[in-house]
Amino acid sequence: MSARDRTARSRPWLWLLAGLAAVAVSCRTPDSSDAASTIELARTLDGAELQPSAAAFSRTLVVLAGHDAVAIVAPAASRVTWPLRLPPHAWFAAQVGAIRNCADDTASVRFSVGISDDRTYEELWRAVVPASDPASPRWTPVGIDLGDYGGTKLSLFYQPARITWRLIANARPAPPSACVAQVLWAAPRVEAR
Amino acid sequence: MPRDGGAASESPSARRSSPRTALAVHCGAVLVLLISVGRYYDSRDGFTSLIGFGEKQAASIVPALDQVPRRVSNGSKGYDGQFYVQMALDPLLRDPATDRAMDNPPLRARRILLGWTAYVLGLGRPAWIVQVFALQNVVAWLALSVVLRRWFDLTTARGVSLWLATLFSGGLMVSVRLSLLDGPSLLLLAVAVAAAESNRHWIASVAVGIAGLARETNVLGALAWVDPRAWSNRRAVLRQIGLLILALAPLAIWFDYIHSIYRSLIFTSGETLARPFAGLLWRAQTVVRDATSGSADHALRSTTLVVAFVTQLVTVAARPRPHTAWWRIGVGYAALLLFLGRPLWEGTPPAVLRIELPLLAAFNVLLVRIEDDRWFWLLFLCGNLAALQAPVVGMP
Repeated sequence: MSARDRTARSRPWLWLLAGLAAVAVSCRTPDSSDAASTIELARTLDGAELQPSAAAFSRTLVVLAGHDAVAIVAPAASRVTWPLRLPPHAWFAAQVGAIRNCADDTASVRFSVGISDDRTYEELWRAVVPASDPASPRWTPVGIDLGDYGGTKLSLFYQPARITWRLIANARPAPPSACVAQVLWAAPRVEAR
Repeated sequence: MPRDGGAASESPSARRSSPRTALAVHCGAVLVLLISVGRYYDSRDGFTSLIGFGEKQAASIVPALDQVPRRVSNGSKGYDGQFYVQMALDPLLRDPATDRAMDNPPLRARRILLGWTAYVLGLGRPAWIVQVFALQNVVAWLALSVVLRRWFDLTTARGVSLWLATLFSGGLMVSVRLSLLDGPSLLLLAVAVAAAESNRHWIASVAVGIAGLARETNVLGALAWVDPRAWSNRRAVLRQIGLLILALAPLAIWFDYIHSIYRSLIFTSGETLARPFAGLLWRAQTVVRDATSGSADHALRSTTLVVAFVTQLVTVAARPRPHTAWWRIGVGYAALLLFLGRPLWEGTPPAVLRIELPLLAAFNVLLVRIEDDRWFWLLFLCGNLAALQAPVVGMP
């Protein structure tokens, strides 16, 4: 068999591989274009649903690792719901803390973060965080991969880029103690990685 | 592909009766089943008492079911059929009300086939859909009684015994009584095996593909033709891969669809899977506990269950027949049995009886080839002991 024959025979495979590569590149293109976007959730609080009431929420400046950051101050039992479209390879990050208003060392708060499309709610992260003294808040880092909820997926039916998600941040005092005054969501953001 | 069972493999000493007797046996069994099912008919509610609607779920039913006359058990939570029939009323699961009507929406959503067939045969009318849903298992049982005759020769005592033991097994009777998925699933697997044995592998693949939509574990039916000994050349391997893709494609597409609704939740299995032997050992322990606490009835039921499954497992393991489709399916379901968790072993009768119906069928087909009469009847009795649980649910 001559070299030309071999080339001719393998050509359909080359074309197929080239086509698949082109499809793969075209699918990835929108991902890379949004790679730098970050949604600062503390700044978009006005567009969020706030429970028990908007008046109970405020923003404050805190220091995280030597840098100033905006934190959402919320009641101990509260919920923030951000409606948003997520970029490809999205990642939720924040630091959470709880402030107590009594001397009870056992006071703590159940934090959780979930996502919903108005039909199915998925809890993505949860933790019980001990409450700390107002003078020296202790921070617990939160990092959640939201990659399943943005970008283009290899699916006939699931196209998350077309869905306006509801990102839900919950807090409620953990029994038995209920002397938690406030919870803090510091520097909450959605990053495209 | 060799066919396991049948007249050619009967014990040489087996005495044969006439085909007319075989027909009489078949008609008699059908009559018994129909009389048993007929007892659940009511002129107002039809056959809806076969579905197992429970009063405690009545507040969260889908709106389409509200106007449908149906029998609801007072003070009861009902059984799984009540969830599946509501999926039949919303076959693409578009209405969030369907989620509220389910105990575990992502889990139930995986098993849509009987919802679709009821919707189509009921012409989209809720009252008809519910009646069709209630009777699908009866139709499947009747069809299965015909298909199983391929392996069980009704002109011999052994064949009649194995045929009756399979058709009136505890698992199949529960499926008929409560309109569950397992009777139709066994029918589709039996059709797949029959097709594979006749070298109609593409039909077998389609049957398994459809069966996978009824219950995800039914894809184990692909073992009817997935045979490593047939991988003699690249063409044979590619052919089996093609068949496997065809068998898995319907479930994969449906999973893709319900993933768009329930996302990661569709992969939750709760405690249905556990470490090997955990469920079986737990049920074995209850024998001792029930016996010592004076609950002889419960102890007896647990004993029949454990003895039956241990006999089936040992028989499948001790009589390797890799060239036969039923043996390979039996091995697949035996492996699954070991991983089934405690919730599936609880209750009377437990769900494991239904889920493992293919193992029972494979076991009974394997028994056909046992030559020694004493061994045959001993294994037959032990392996089919769980049939004694059928009367618990009000079936023969």
